[in-house]
Order: sequence, then C-alpha cells, then structure tokens
Amino acid sequence: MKEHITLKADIRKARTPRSGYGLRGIMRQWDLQSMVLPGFICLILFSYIPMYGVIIAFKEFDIFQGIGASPWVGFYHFNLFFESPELNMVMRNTIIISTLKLVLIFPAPIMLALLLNEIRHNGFKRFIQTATYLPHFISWVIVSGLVFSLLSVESGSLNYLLEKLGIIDKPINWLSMPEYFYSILLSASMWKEIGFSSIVYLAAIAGINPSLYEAAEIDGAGRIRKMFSVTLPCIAPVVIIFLILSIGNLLSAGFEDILTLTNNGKNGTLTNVAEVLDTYVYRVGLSEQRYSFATAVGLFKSIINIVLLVAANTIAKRVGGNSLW
Amino acid sequence: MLKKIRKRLFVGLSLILAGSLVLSACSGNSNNPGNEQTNSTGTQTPEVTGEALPAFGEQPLEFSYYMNYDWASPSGYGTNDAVTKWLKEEKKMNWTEIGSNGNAKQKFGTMVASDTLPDVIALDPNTPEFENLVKNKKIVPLDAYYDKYPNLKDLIDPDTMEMMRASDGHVYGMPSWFGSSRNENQMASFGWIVNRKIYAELGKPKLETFDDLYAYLKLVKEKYPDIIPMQDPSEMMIYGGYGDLRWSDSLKEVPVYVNFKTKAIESIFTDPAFKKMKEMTNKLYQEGLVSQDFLTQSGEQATEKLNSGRIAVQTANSITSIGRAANNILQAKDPAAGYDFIPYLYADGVDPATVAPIGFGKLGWNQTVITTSAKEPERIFQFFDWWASAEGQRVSTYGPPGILWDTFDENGAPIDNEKSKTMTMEEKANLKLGWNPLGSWQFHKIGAARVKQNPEKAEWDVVASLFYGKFVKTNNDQFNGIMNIDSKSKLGIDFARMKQIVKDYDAKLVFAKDQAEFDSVFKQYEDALNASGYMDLIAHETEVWKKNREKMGL
Repeated sequence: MKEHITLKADIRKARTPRSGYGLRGIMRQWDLQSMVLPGFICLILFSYIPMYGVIIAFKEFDIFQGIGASPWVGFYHFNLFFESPELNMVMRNTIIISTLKLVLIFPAPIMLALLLNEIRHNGFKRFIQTATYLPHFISWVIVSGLVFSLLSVESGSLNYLLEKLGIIDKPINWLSMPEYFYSILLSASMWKEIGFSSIVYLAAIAGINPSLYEAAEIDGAGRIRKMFSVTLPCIAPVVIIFLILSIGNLLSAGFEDILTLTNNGKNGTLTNVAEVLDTYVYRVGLSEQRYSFATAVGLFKSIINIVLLVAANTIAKRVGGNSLW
Repeated sequence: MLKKIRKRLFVGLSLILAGSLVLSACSGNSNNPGNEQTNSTGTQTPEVTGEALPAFGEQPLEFSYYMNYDWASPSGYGTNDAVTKWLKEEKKMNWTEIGSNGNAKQKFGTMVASDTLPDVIALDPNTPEFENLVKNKKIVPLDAYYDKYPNLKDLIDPDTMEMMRASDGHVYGMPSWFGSSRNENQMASFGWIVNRKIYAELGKPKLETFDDLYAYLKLVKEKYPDIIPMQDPSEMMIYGGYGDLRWSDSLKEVPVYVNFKTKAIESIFTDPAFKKMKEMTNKLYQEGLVSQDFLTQSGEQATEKLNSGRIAVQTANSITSIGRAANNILQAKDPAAGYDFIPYLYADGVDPATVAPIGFGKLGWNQTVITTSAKEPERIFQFFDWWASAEGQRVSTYGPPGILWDTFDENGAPIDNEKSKTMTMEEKANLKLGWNPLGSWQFHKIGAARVKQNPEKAEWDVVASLFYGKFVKTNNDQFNGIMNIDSKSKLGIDFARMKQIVKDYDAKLVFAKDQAEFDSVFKQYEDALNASGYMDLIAHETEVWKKNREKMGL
C-alpha cells in the first residue's frame, strides 16, 4: 500500500515538468506515449482505415471491379431506401424494440446491482453474481435454441406445465404469434445480459467512500434510505454515461437476438414486428449482394445514432453536469 | 488558449487522416484484384498439350471446393465416410472443403472481393454470379479438356452441350446430375414416405388421394398420441397432386402458374389448385395433423424426429439422403421398421396419370466450374471426368472396391462379395456411402442394373428413385434460369421483396383460424404481390421460357 502511494506521487512529480500540448509535449513524455502507441495503431488500423469503404454507399459497388473502379451513383441508394415500402415498418419496429429495451432492460442491471449490494452473505452474493452473468457467454444461437425448446408446441416445457396445471387445454404456439414476440425477445435479452451489465454498477458501488454510509448511519438512515440517498447519487454519473451511450445506440435495436429468434427470418408471421434496421440490412443488402445499399442504410443509421448521442450528451451536460465529453 | 488547442487538434487529426489514406492506398492493390488479372490472363483457353497426363490417382492432386448454396457445409472429407477416405488414401486426392456458413451469397461475395476464390465452385448456371465469373475471366473455359478426355463428352448429349455454351461461345461448366436421351432409367428424388410399422399396425388403409391421407392422419392422431402424423407438409407435392402436369418447381421462390396449354406463365392466383393447396395445408395445421413447429424447428430437429420413427407420413424432397438415412437407421434396429415410399397422392377427381410434380432435365441440377486460381485445372477436370464415368459413380453409391464388392456385371453394377453378405445393416450404414460431387446418368444406369441383379436386396433409395422416376414427364430444361435475376436491377429488388412477401404469407395462411380469416389473408397476399411488381416478374419469366423453348426447338 505504501509503495503504491509513493509510486503515485512519483508519477505526479514526474508529470509536472513534462506536461504541455502538441508535439513538444508528446516528445517530452515519449516513454509514456509509446505505451499508448500499440492501442493507437490498432484503433487506426481497424476503426479508421476500413472507414474509407463507406464511399461504396455512393457507388454501385461491383465485387469484381473493386471499390475504386465501381461507378459513382450519388444518393441513389439512399433514395431507394427512403422510397421503399418497408421503410415505415422497419423504422417503427426499430424504435419500438429499442425503446422497450431502453425502458426495461437498461434499468434492470442497476436494480440487480443495488440488490446484490444489500446481500450480507458473501458466498450467496458471489453465487448470484456468477449465476446471473454466466448466460452472457452463451451465444445467441444457443440461447434461441433454448427458447425454442422451452416454448415449442410439441415438446415445450412451458406448454406442458400450463397444460398440467390446467391453465390451457391446447398448447400455444408462442413463437409464431406476433403479440408475444417482444415479450420473448426482451425476456431472453434480459436473462442473458442482466448479470454482465451489472458488473460495472457493482464496481461503481464498491468505489463509494464508506464514510458516506457511516455519516448517513449517524444521521439515522436505514438501509433503504442509504440506498436512495447514498448509493444511487454516487453511481449516478456512471448511470448517466451508460444512458447516453444507449441513447446513442437507439437505432441499433439488435441483430443476432432477433435473427435467431425468428429462425433467420424463416418465421414469416413475425416479420411485421421483428424486422429492424440491422436485420433488414442483412437480408436485403448482404444476402442479396447489394453491398452499396447495405452500406447506405448502415451509414444512415450511424448518422442518426451520432446525432442522438450528441443530443443526449448535451442535454445531460445542461441538466446534471455529467457528460461523456 | 482554446484557439491554440483547436489548431493543434486539427493538425493532429489531419495527420491521422493522411496516415490512414497512405495506409489504405498501400492496401488498395490487394483490394482491387479484378483489373490487372483480367488484362494479363486475357481470353485464351488454357494450354492443352496433346500428351496424356498420368491417369487419375497416380500423382497427388490437391484442390479446394466450394458449393454456392446456403445449406452446403463441409462433410468431413477423408474422415467420415468410406468413399472420401479411399480417395484420399488410395487415389492421393486431397479435397479441401469450403463451407458457405449458411449464407452462400455473402460467402461468394467475400471470396471474390478478397480474391480468394477456391479452385472449384459448384453453382447454378445462368445466375448473376456465374455470368460475372465468365465476364471477368475468373473461370477456365473447358472446351479443350472436353475434347481431350473421353467420359464427360461422351455422356453429355450434343444439344445439351450447346445449351451450356456461354455467350462468348465457350463451355465453362461440368453439369451435375445431368441426363441424356440415352438414359433409359429416369430417377427422381421427391416423394411421400410412410412409417412402415405404423401403417401395418393400422391395417394398411387405402392411401391414394388427399381424402385418404386426411383420414389416415386422423387415425394416426387418435391411435398414436405421441406420434406426429405428418411432418413438413411440402406444398410442392400437394400442388402437384392437382394433376394437369402441374409442375411443382413453379412454387419455388415466388410461385407462378405455368400454363402448358397457353404456353404462358400466369399469376398463381388464376390457378384454383393453389388456393385449394393452401387451404389443405391450413386445415392440416389447424387440426394438429402436421408438425406444429414446422416453421420454427431447424432441419436437424426435423431429421431427428424422422430418424427416431416419430413421424407417420412425410413428404421428402430428397429420398436419397433423408429417406435413405431414416429407413436404414430404423431398419438396423428393427427389420419391420423403416419408411416405405408410396405413389404421389392426388386430389379426388384428378387423373393420377397427370400427376407429375417433378420434372427431368438433361442440363442437370447445377454446374461445376474451375477457377483461374486453380494451379492444375486440367488435372481437376481429369478427376471429374473420371468421377462421371461408370467407375466413379459406382464408387459413390456402392463404395470403393474391396469393401462390399470386388467385381461388377456387364452393366457396371457391382456384385456383392462374401464380406458384404455377412455385414449387418448397421455396419453398412456406418460406411456412409453416397458422397457425390458430380452425378452423371451412369449413376441411374448402374442403380437400375443393380436392382435387376437382385430386386430383394436392392438399395432402398435406388428403388425409390427409380419408382418416382416413372412419374416424370416435364422437361425442366425449358425453365432453365427463369428465376435467376440480377439482384441490383429494379426487378431484382422487387423480386427480393416478393420473396419476403411469400415467406410472410406462407406462414400467415397456415395460422389463419377460420375460413373468413383465410380468405381475407389470401386476398391480401394477392394484392401485396401485385403491388410489388409480380406482373413484371411473370412477363420476365414468360420471356425466358419462350427463349429457352426456341433454343430447344420445343
């Protein structure tokens, strides 16, 4: 512990003369900067260089000719998308699903983290934590397989249970009824991700200064009072940052989850409620080799997402003083 | 201060951008394979020397193979089955399988864009993919090879060879599962299979018409609550049951009505049989007579149910793979179990002689092409030429010599050896025979001769295929390529939309609760298709059909 403190002090001492902006600043702390370099190179290599491919949104990309030689077509693919009869349906589903996710799935891990924090028995707490975050590591293909066999008409355990309890007299085809799709999708997503997402919040809670709790106790606060008056306000900055990020992803309503739960789009009864921007790009763009169209729709989505992100960030900054930048 | 920071930030960003541009320019060469290669390779046919190469199997041969279909996945060359193990060990051929990962178009695009085409591709001719490969000189013209090697040239009829010629006059593909006017033993692989044990236990009631089928399924449901009366109600088979040579392939992708009388392709909604077929599927589903999960279950789940004998009736679109496996697995455990094939069922009042849902074609199913990436295209052709011969086709169905047979009769059909007579069904099933990347009609000839040798011991799937082959009446070649449309064209975009509409309404019609709902959904279906350019599609298909008939002199 003591060593740790001295190290920190050393760094602080060392930093002062080396600070400064621009190239001179970088040269002065070359040893520290060189540690950033590998990450920096990776970022450029995998996030920036492939970005030039975005120009195929404005071209009629021919895989044999390559990006350079394909002819320019301007906003043709954007127009195609805006004029397509599926536009309304796709946008509606995207917004419904992501709003539902924002309202129901976003707060769930926060609640889980708060509840976990109140558990006194350490072993039990760890068990719950492990049990809830394990599903995160199962791929969606397997999760949807589990959902299918749980809800299947012929051999599904849910139908079997309800029949034995006398609640229904004929098995229900859960997976082919559009009205149940959102519930199934959201439940599966929540089950899969709740534990893993709560780790961040648990870490934030662990970082709260214990003296705050002690002070609250002296003031006579009970456990619930402490939760609302100490824990929540202390993790609020983290919550706000994640909220901003999820708002920025509003048009990314999901892809693998929807694709696998609709049996790769084979289950036609669900198209009307399940087709979202990403599955549409996959089905109409990539599967039909219309790469330019797929890129145009993807680019449109990214632009809207950036606008939403900036807007959410600005609002958060004005209102609460918390923001990403 | 702020201004200064901004300026520096700007300089920094410009540097990043410039750096990434330089880097992307470097990678540009590998990303743009098309042009240079085209110019250097030119149009010339690869050089073929008059000298004969060493026979297939004398020298090691290695190449990669890709099938351009969503369902195509590696089958484990050289490890799982007796045939590929033999090819690898005895014939020194190493075959690298490339899977489509469930999405062939995407995989194909990736391979072209990254210039990593495999040595051999099996794909549908007349598709934009095929045409682009020809246009961009990515595949090898095979004319000279055809002249040099004996088997394929002899097996393919001259008029079929003409149909295969690309617009530049070259032949680029080797047809698979192709026929010939010399083929006396037509085979077909679509049919109805019935669970042998259940059918016998229920007293083998008459099973010829759709009404018989309905009554039988009801009986099964009543007597065997744990059995699924029918799985995968194939609409193509039911539709064909309405006679008048209704050709079931017309229901693929976006259904159309092929009117053989007027020689025109019409809206499917002008054909009353289409609505009747949909009503029947709906009725079977609503009454719980067909698998209730058929829209959500995976192929593996369906196969598992079939292989465990939990299905009473099934329409099988591949007797040779699905039917054969299920029958052999069940029969290995219990000689009285398994599946029997029955004649095509038909609607009441229909003349069974006009029920012919499956057509035949001399052009075959698809074509195998050799790409310019292949190092030894001629030796690859040599392999396929050998494989198409009686020798290769015999190995495919009956295994390499020395396991089940040592000699063969004058028709090329293998004669069972002593070892084969003592082998159990299970041991035979474990050989997993049937690997066949390029079927020729020699397969039919040998199969038929083998049945003649000993009708009682003949392979189940060969007998079944020959049985259904007798029903075949329509020549599929006239419809060659009618549904292959460039996906970037206006019609192609509409076609993709129509395919989705078909998928949606196929499901909605099955789930309609009563006649009123069914009728209204059916009407919506028609309107939705018509609003998406259905009539343009029909005009296009009629045009292609007409051109094909002219080419064939029909």
